[in-house]
Amino acid sequence: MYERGTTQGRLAGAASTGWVIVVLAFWIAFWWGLIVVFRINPDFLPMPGDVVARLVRLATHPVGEGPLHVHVWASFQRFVGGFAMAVALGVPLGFVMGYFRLLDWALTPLFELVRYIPPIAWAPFAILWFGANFGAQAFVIFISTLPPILISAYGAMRAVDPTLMAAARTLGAKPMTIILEVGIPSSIPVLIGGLRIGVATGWMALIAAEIVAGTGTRAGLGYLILVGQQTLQASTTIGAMVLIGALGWSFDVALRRLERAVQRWR
Amino acid sequence: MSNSIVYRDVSMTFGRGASAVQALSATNFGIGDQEFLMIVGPSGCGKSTLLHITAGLLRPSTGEVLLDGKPVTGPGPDKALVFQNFSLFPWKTVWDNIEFGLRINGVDRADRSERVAKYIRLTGLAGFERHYPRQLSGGMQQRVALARSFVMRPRVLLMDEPFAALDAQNRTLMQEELVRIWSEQRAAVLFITHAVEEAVYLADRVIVMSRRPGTIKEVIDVNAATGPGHWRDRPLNDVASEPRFQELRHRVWDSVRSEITTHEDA
Ligand SMILES: Nc1ncnc2c1ncn2[C@@H]1O[C@H](COP(=O)(O)OP(=O)(O)OP(=O)(O)O)[C@@H](O)[C@H]1O
Ligand SMILES: [Mg+2]
Repeated sequence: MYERGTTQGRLAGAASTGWVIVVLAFWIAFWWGLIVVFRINPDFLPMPGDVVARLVRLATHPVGEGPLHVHVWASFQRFVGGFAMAVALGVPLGFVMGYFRLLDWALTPLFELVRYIPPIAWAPFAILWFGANFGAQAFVIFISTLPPILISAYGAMRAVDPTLMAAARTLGAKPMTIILEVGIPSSIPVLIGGLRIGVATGWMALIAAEIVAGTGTRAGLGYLILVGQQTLQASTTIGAMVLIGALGWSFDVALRRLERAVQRWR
Repeated sequence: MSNSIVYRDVSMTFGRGASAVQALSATNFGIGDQEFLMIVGPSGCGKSTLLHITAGLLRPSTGEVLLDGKPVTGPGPDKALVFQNFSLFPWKTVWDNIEFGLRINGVDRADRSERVAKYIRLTGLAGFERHYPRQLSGGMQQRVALARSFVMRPRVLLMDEPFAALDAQNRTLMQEELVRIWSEQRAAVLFITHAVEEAVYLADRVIVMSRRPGTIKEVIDVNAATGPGHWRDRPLNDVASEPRFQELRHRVWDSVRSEITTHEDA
């Protein structure tokens, strides 16, 4: 009965973004203070300024296959590739499993098991099947994001109000229409929750996969971490870590925006 | 009078073995072509069960339901069901809710717009076409539910306590609107209510059901009592004070009450 986007709501949103910046600034100052007070060796823990300088340098000077944006782009592509495949397979399959009992019985035990296998455990097979390149890394993302996405799509379909489905049936809807027109809209909140979990697991799995299997391609944020380790440049490693965190967070912000945009009726 | 719906030995038992519940015992009955039939009976006597069987949402344990001579095998737009809790699609606007059944049944766009607009007008929803259900009052949501069913031009209109959630004023308004739309359309109506007054006011015939396992206990012919000018064509307020109306209301109420009291004695 109440309209969205009240003054109160907007204030709360603005405050939280501002708050994040304030809090981050505080912890960066804390990091800087720690090094100054305890006179920590920069090879052990670099200064915030050094990390920024390193990132700026990486942005202009190539390492491995190119400058910083090449690495960000490489990771992003692998991630999106694997994630898109998981969505393309997991969402429809989850919905259909949620609607048809037989598929549910056949597939659910399998996914209950697969979801507990750490993504990185797939790396040896991924490399064996696809070689240490885009395919292997995208596969690791795919296999790690598929269970949360599929399980949330499945759970969302199971949770659809049965009287809404009955209402659709009495108006002449067939199973596919019910899945598309009743199942999907009413499961979007749960589904986006699943996508957010998928983004988090997938993004972390990607970096791990790049560290384990990424040397074949010499590109990616995981590869940069490896370079930092091998060349004893702590600032490169930390710079890559900061970027990984920031990118992961921005994916999540984008999904939350999407969630609000598709749910204007709430 | 020719029959639109015929029940042949229809009974319903939920579950099996020790936990089996017989909700409906063998029912034989016929509903007239354009008849307005009201069903009253104690709680849990199988009224909703009978309605859902008629809609094709439930398969009876024995017997069959015939619609225009053909067995009912599943739900469809010729048997529109209005649920007690409205069951509107919350992510669809008023317009899209009403249009849904026409669209999925392949009615072409121009025809659709014309019919949706007509029922929006008839139910007094003009100006609210782009609103979402949560932005409407309970009475308006119920109008949308009615329009969504009526727009299909169903052969039978099945209503499960459709006005139970409305206050007295809205209920009266909705009763008048229902009669007005029904007299244009002339579908058969099967309407469940707990309100004896509502039953006697609207019905051609009132069916009183016995306690569980329910069956038809008594059929009260209201038409015979009203003569040519039916009560429902005048405001309820004017009719309620008429001796014949009160007499019939008492008769129905006594019949229902005896079912409730014997139930409590048992
Ligand atoms: N799906 C089901 N599974 C098991 N039992 C059921 C099911 N649906 C209904 N029943 C039982 O069947 C009986 C009749 O139920 P029904 O909903 O038809 O009653 P009703 O007359 O509509 O009651 P009310 O007036 O309270 O709505 C009840 O005892 C109920 O518990
Ligand atoms: Mg009921």
